[in-house]
Amino acid sequence: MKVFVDDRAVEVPAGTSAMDALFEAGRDVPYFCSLPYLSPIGACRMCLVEAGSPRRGQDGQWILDDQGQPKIFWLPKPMASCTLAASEGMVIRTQTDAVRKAQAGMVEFTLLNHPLDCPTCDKGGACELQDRSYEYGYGASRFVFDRRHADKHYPLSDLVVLDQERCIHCKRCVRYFEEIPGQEMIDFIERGVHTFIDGYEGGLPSAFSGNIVDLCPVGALLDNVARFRGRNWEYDHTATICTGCSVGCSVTVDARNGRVERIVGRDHPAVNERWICDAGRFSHALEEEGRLTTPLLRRGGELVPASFDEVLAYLTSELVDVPPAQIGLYSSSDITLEEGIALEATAQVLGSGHVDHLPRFSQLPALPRPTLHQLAQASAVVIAGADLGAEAPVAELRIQEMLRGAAPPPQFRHGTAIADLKLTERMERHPERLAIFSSAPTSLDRSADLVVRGDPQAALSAIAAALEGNAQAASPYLSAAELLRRPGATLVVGSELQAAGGLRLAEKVARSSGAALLALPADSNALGLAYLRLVPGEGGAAYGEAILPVALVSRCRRLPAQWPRLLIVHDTTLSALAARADVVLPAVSGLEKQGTLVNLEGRLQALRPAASEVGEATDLIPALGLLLQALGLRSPVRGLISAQRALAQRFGARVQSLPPEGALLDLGEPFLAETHLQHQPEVGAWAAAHLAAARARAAANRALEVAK
Amino acid sequence: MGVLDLAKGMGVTLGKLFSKPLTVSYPESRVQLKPRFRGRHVLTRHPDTGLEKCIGCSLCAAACPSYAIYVEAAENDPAHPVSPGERYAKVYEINMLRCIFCGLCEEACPTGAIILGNEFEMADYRYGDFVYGKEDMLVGQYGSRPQRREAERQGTPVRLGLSVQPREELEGVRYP
Amino acid sequence: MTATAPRPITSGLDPRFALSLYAHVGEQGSWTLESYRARGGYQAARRALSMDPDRIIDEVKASGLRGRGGAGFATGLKWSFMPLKDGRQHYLLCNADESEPGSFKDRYLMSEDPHQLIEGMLIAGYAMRATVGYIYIRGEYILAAERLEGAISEARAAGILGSKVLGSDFDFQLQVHRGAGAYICGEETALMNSLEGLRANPRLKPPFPAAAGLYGLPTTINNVETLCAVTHILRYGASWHAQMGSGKSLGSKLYQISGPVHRPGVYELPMGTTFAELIEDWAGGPTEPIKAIIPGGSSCPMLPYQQDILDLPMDYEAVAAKGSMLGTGGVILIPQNYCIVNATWNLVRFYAHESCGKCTPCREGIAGWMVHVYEKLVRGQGRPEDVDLILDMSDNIAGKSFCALADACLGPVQSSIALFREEYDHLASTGQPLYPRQSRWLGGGAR
Repeated sequence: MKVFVDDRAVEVPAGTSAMDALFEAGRDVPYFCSLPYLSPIGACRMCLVEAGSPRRGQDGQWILDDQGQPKIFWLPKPMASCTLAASEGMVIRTQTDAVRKAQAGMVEFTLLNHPLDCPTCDKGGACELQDRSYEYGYGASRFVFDRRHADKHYPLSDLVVLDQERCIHCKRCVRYFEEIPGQEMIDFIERGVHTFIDGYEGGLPSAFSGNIVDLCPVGALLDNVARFRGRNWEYDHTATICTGCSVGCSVTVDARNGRVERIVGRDHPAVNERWICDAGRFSHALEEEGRLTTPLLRRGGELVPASFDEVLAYLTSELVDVPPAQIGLYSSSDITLEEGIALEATAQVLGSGHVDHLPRFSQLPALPRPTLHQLAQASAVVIAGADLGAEAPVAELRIQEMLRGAAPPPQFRHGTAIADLKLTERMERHPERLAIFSSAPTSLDRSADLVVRGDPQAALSAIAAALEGNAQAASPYLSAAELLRRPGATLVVGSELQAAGGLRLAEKVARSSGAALLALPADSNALGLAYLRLVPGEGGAAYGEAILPVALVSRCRRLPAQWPRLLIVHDTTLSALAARADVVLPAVSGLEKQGTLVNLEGRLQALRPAASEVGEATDLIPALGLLLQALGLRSPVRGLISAQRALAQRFGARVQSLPPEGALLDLGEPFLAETHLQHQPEVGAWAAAHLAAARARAAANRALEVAK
Repeated sequence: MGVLDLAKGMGVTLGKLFSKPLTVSYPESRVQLKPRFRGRHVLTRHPDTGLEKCIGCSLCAAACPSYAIYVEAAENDPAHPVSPGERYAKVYEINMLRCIFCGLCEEACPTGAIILGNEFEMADYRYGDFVYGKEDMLVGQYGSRPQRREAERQGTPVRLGLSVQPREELEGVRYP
Repeated sequence: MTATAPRPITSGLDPRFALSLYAHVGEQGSWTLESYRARGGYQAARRALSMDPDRIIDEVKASGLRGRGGAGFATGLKWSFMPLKDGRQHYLLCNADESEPGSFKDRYLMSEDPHQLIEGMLIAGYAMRATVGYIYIRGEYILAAERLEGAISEARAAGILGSKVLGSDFDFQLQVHRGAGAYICGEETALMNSLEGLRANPRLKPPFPAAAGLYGLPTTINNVETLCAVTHILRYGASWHAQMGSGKSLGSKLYQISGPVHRPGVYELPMGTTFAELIEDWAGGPTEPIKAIIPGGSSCPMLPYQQDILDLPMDYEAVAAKGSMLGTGGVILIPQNYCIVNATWNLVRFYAHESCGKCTPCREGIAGWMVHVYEKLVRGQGRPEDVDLILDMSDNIAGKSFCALADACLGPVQSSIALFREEYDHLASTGQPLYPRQSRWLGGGAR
């Protein structure tokens, strides 16, 4: 339908809010309470516009004015454009004096009780209220009374701190918890001008609590990990991908002085919308602990810092008698495709079959993968053997979206719809659409009607039997089978089904029910690496399966069953494995490297290095080069560019020029092999370790102060 | 131009021969500065509480045209605050080699914490010694690093080569 | 209107007028089922239950009954918005959260004649296929709530509520819910939130309650007086109701009068009765000179106390034509020698206290700012420009808030400045009120 905004005409789909229509037309209104993916509520009253619509008469024709044009019936009051539905022929005025005065007056009201401590506020410089006050305010206040005083340092949890004075009552955080993770944590207390935010005692027991920091339009809710670490203009912002799990959320990594200080979510409508989990947001502080910046070499039983030249000399002398085909190459599954193809090329140059990546699962379903978008739109979801909270937390949010049953917000020229009128507060959820079969409690149990504790593989067998008509009446497996038979249903399977046969069973269930099958990969790039020859070859040994003369192990935390005689470890910190190595090469973390990752839906996304100071740490490609150099060999893949060239040859895609939203590509046939290493995903288990580390750090600081 | 003009010019010259010379024999005698002379920065304190005025907001660093200022903030311990409020400057450094003494930091400062004082004798030998920290600039600290080093070596108080009328913003600064 | 049609009843002095709503208020034991039955109670419900539900809605439409809660929306039309045949649970709510200063009619209806309300709700519930009704009563109305609860249990025991009401196939459950002291709960969507156990913030409209109300299901919410009037419409017929009143405002209405009059109180009069009749004939006239009249509860703009206003019929259209509202019919008189700024401050303080905090103009504008400016003025610390500041602030609030509470506060503010600007200016420039009678809030002063 056509909507007229000031002097511009714009075509928008039916159901669009006036706010999105006017943004689509290139106009601007200030707003604090609306936010993409949240329901519009019209609380801040900033987005006032004048609006009017033509009307149809009894005969169904437009009522015309003197000029023969459809007569515009103006609404008597300025309207909040976020909650006003645009209609055919609607005229919206954003630039009149009345609108300007209304907006300026509202800025003045909003600022009445907002403290002017912007210099000490972590939001300063990136604050919506600051920006809107400059753009739309009077520039001065006529308020001569004392401002409201409240608690300025009110920790909602160990990670999020609330400044009650700064709150402008936009209700975004309250709505976020209710609408997105479906966990009501906080609400307004008191009323009128005394209204403030508060929650339960004992913090914010949600795995997604950090998102309220991103969405707070002012500095009321702040990241306690990044507290006072830098001002917003001092950070170097890097748009990249979180490597914590296989969802591949879009994030912005903010670094200052070569140190990653905070991570914030970035809008990717198809993957994470704009939410990230607390593990992805806050655990970077854990990664920063004890980083290696130079190579270490074992001398006299001790690991001592050394130069790369010394390492090269050492390796050259040690590897003289080692047949290259006996050198093992093992890596974690969060390496990029570029590192992966370098690893593959190195193994070929060595002629070694002792190559593997871990964690990984033995099989990969041969069915088309559903996208996260399809998961969020599924008619029903059955989860078997997966705890999404530990394996792919943000996928849990997409399932919550499925339970709410609203179509995804439309996309406009200005991005995701800011005020999607389909979304309302307290939408009805449909727990009957979700069934969970797992052996341990999972984070989604609270949202599902059907939760069955027990061996998920046995459950899948029972579901398969039910699909063939061999089930007792009214069993949970029959209910699950019926859910899966709904058109557009999805079966999600995870690490509990990694044992042989589990995935094949899931595949069978998916095929016979017609449901889509989403198998969660074991790590952030486990799916992509499956399409490279990174599994043990002819006679090759898996990780720790045989005593090898030499092995290079990159970023694996698992200790091998059999230790190689010479162990080269490539890692970010001195892990338990690295502590027993002969050579330790410093590695960069997932935040610091460049490359390409494949997420659980098969989407190739670009990883960009954050502006962090990593010393001599490198990604895997130079580490492999060093090994080859010590052997006097040369790999065709010696750097990022040659790796990308090799990837282009393999997959027929230029990974260096992926679109910002990534690309879903057909990567051909996977290379699969059985693995006997059981993988226990633990994305959600970061918090305890992190908090312990933070407390220890604080205690050490205090001790230092006392000593001074 | 006539003879009269020549005589006029010579008159000026001759007149100066008998007036008091403006030249100061620095460093033996102190140079008399105008109060608003912009010299080495001073970080002031609240005179009543003794707390630092600086809240570590980094606005001076943002305003600095020569990127000479580095600030790292931290949270005050409520029991022993360094500054009023929640935030204080844990690290406050100015690279005096980069500084052009323009005074924009002073203008940007929301609390009046950083004021350009009158000291100017900062010549030193190593690059690193030109990065002045909080301990070099907090009010009560007189003299540049080389001056203080020299005074310590000789066991005498710091001698500044300047004298100036006190300035109101420079709270608590009394140049010796 | 044809010449033969009888003249409508527009005066309480008209001999054809008889009390209906308040006919038995004040009688000993009038709240019992026995007393109510003795005077023909529940005949209307029996008649209604024998009718087709849609016919009841038609009858209410024909009676011209309009909502008595303040807005004056046609009741029959409102009922017809319900998706009548969708088979879902429907709810009937009774808004008994009478909190507007100047309004006190419903409390006596509920405490003195509760069966009248129960019968009205039964009829309305049957008409709208609502099998569950809630009476959301103001928490301070303790006697009324107790009498209502007593009446409900009496009715339940007598088979008037519960399953198979009065021997019919209709089930009707009725519950009393007591509020916890918030004016905003009189706003229909905030009332529903409060009833659901949520924070009493108004909800976004649309969807309107008839589409998605209590628990997201079709809901109609009516005022106590409206539902009581339904009882009498079904008992005496739509034409009986329509013969009272003027223009589009029909029926009899409870008018309340407070302020310096000889007999303040609640008076049932036909709609269209003049202010003069209410004040002089019924309330016994003012006890001291009056300067302003608030026609319908504190949120309605003040009108000057002068002849053309006194001759105005108290109906929705006539009062609206003078720039105010009939509201709940709660007439408040403000004496001549009382400082108008002080009087308005009293009302602003009420609205500031009751602001729910959801939207910015009400929370910050009224509760955070305007009330302070008024206090400053009344304490004699104002500046001459403060009056214009209040006006500008009012302009920035007017029509821009989420619900009507902020506009309700602006009613007395804007009208008092328009009518009595010189009092404001005098107080702002000299620090002394033109009429120095003070409120007790400031600790006495010259009386």
